[in-house]
Amino acid sequence: MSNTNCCGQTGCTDTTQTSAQTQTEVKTSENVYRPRMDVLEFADRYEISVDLPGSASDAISATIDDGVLTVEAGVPDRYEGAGQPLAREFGVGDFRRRVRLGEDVDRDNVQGAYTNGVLTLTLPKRAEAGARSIPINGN
Amino acid sequence: MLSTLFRDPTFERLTRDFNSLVSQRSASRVPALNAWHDDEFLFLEAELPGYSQDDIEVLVQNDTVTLRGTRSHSIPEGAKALHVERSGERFERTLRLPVELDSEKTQAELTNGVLRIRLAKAESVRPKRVPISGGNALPGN
Repeated sequence: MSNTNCCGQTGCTDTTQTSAQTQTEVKTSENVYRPRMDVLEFADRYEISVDLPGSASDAISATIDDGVLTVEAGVPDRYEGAGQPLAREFGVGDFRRRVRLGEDVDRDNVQGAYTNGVLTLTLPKRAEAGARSIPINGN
Repeated sequence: MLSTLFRDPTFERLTRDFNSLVSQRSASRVPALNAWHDDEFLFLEAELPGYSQDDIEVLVQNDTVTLRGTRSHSIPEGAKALHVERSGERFERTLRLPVELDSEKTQAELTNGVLRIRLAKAESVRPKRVPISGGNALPGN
């Protein structure tokens, strides 16, 4: 079991299963693969990049539920009607990965973009707790 | 769904030879490949997420194909890397294929991080249909 402290805050651990590594991804069930992922922390945000080759923007979903980010990508079979196989070093299938986010992520303002087969999510950090200014009514 | 793995022993042996040379020379990544062929073409496919067209080179000469690429992939200024699985700024792989190729007719396409290369088999190695002459009698009868 891999417990990566991905967002640097308490409770932020990688909830995905660990199994044998292949060159590009890890298979967790029939035809569903665990994509490779990077997590970067900036002063005001996190950036999560996920390798999702062979998918499409409209086939990718990123949802946050109860503090867990789930990324799923549909990948259609690319070999329909292909000729005689010569080599098969990697498998093709859907991707799924789940990550628990830290408490400091502003979950309502996450944005994502899919370019060159990579999904990049930008997760802003919440403004400091307690830094709200209170309006004062006067007469 | 393709059946698994190397059917052509020539392909497998020569692929291994070249790959070990490449990885010894540098810290390049060796991308995994799927390959298939029909009468006219030989296809190669690699997953290269994070590379754009300009980062990649595909070279074809006689029966040898090289794919390679570089990209800048360093941690941006002001960022801390909390978790990194997608490292790598270079890849290279050279294959000697068991068939002669027509390099002029090679096509390569990069779509959503998947590089697919279509190599044309040289005219001389494509299967040729042999005309069958007719008649009921065998020669010599």
